[in-house]
Amino acid sequence: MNLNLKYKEYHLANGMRVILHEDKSTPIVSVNMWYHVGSWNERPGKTGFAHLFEHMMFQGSQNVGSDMHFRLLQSIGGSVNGSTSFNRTNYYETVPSHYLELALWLEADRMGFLIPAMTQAKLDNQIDVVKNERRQTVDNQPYGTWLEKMLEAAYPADFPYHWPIIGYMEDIDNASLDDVSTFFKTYYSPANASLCIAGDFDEQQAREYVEKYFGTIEGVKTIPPVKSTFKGRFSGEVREDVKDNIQLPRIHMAYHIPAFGEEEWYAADFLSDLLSTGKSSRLYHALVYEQQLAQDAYAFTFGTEGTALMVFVATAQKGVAIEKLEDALQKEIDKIITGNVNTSEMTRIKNQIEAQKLRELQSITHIADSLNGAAVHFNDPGYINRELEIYNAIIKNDVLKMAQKYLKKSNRIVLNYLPK
Amino acid sequence: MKNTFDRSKIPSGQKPRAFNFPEFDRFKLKNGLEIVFAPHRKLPILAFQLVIKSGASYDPQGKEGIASFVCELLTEGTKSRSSYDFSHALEDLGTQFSAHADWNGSFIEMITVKKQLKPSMDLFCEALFYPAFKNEEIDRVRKRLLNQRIRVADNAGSIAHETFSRALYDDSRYGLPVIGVSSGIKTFSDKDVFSFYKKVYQPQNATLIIVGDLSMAEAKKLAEDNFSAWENSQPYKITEPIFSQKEQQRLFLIHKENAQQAEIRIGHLGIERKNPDFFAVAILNQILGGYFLSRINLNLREDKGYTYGVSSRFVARKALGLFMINTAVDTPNAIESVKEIIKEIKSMQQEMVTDQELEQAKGYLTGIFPLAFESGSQIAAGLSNIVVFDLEDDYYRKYREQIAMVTKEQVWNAAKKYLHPDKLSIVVCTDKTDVEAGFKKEFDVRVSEYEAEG
Repeated sequence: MNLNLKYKEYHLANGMRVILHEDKSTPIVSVNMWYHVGSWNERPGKTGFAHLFEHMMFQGSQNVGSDMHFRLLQSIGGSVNGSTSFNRTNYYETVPSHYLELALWLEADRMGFLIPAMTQAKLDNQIDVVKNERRQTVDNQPYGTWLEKMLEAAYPADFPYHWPIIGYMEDIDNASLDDVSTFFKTYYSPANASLCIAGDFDEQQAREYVEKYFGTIEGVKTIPPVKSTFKGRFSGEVREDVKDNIQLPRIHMAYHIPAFGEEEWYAADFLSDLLSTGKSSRLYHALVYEQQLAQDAYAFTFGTEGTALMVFVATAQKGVAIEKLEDALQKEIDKIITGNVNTSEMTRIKNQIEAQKLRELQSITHIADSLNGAAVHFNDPGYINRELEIYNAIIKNDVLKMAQKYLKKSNRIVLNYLPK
Repeated sequence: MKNTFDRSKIPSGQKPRAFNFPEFDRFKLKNGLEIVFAPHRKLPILAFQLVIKSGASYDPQGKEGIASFVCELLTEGTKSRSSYDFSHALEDLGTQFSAHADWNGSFIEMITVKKQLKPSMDLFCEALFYPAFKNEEIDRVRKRLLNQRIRVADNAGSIAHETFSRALYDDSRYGLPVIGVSSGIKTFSDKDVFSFYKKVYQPQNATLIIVGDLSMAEAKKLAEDNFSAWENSQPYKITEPIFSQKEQQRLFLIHKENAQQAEIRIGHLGIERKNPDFFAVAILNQILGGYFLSRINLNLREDKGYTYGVSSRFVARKALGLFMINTAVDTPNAIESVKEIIKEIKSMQQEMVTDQELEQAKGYLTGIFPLAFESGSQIAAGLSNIVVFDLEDDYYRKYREQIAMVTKEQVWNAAKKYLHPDKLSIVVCTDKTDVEAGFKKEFDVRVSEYEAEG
């Protein structure tokens, strides 16, 4: 299958990227904005700020009352959200298509005129909300701290992937209005933003709206780059045991791999699918089904810039010693390293990836986000059309070479969660 | 920065483009199997859902969880293919296949790309008509489910949720989880599995939903070719259970040592799906806790910062469903949160909602419509609702009119009729150390500790 999503791309004079993708099959339109800023732009002591800032973007701006963002969009049946990741923050609203102008007006107002609406009371409120988000998603979840403990173990203290996206409690508590202003001025400029409009709209009209609402917004042209380079690969196995309020032990194993977008990253991602997708996948079949040691077992990659991780997770069944599970998991990794990958598996994964891409095209919200992702990460929205070819071109030897090079004990962190 | 226009002016909407839930066809095979088909030709994808109109509600006593267990086993091998070979064959095609049960039915679902339709359909039918139900697979699935049951103890949210169901429905089927509990799961035999399968998996008790890139003629041929040979067994009668509200308000405090937050569930019995006040209740719920703009969310999250999120819902079932408010708050604010939630429930009864609240709720429920039925899978889910709850064929096509007709008076009446603040079951799962005394001052409290299933 060839993916051939049509789109148009241009830049405003202020540097903002615009991507247009028309699809009139349903009368809805998705307005999707990416800012190329995430937790990796933070420094120790200010962790979690990119995410807290994302919350503040929903608290109104100069011409938008404090709860008006949600009020205007939800009262027309819009679907509204935002999310913060390591390298980017996204905002989107998918609305009935006749409200495109409203959605653009809202996005523009918070891009250009956020700060006049910021108050200490709003910040205090969202600090409380985010602390509760952290409690709900991390501190009060079984194994909930695994990712931050993994990041802490994998990266040096001042490396920008060392801390969790949601941040540490005391840093969240210490965020100030000054921080909000500085962060806004530094990162929320049109030159650091990419707007994708996808769905049912008229191109000429959309271009006029975009120019009208975003064209006069000014901002810094240069965004301070993240300069850290990771030099810690193959520096010896790191192992840590963590006691948690859990019934079943769980292994988390992370290997350093090249950055998102590198050839070897795709090979690792492909291998993750081969190991984890479906009941015929390696890890499920060996550990869960045949040996009945694991309750679940899977692998995945983080798509981070600069450097990345490939992670294995396996939860032991009741009564199974974690050492035994680790041995079994190691055997599966060794099988890959010693060349035991067959052609029919490769074909299966390719068929699965293709079907997955096709299913994803059912959602205009997803398409808008993918175009923006390709634009921000690879400076080319058309990358989403090429990505399928990249996966299709992967051969056994690519997977082998990647596995042999990176899946070494000296290149990994093993984090075992054990019942208290 | 100069603006050549007034940014304070909120852009109004343009003329909406017409959209509606697709028209669909129904037809029956000779064996009684009903087919519901809606074309959706945007992409070469097909979504199938076979609805068996008997779910967890029909689990025999002592075998609670068997409907769900049968579904698990339908993906674990056929008479001619092992579990691994079966999954392998499907996954080679990139086809998604799954089965699950809920209270209202059992559902076998498949999404396939069009070019793999024939082999995918063959596998779907093989799983449905010729399941192996081998003892070896039964033991495997059982072990996995028992491990899943053990893990409920890890999660304050799950504990609160299960305690809440139990508080409302006691020892009846709805009082236990859909998958059952360990004591029952341990007793499932191949005989139990076969007998449930034989009893409810028959064409006269089923509807096949097909949505996607096919013509009506193709859909008809597909159904006839693949499902005509399916035979009926004995017809059986379905009776819905009857439940009654609790007499008074009770608070269940479940102690979980070192919990970092309080998981809260508050509510009581709700409505049946066919309740004539369904649309008024939908708006009532929307305003109270159905979306970000709801009273409880704006109060507990956006005003007080007690929580990351709080919501309410009326879960409609064939029999009396439930009304539930769901949140997690930092423990020192747990008592205050429960009181605020009760205050908001009462406020819905004390006076009519405002015009603005009514209009926003209607705007949301009608405006979300095209987003809710964008994909073939979403349309299949809508058709499934029509089938499971025996709704009118034009239910979704008239949905927005029905919502638009609801008045403030009707919402108020629904609040008085279907909200019962004095009969609430309140569940709080957290570390009780700092809140037990406080709760006891205000509520009729039962304190307990969750015991992990072994």
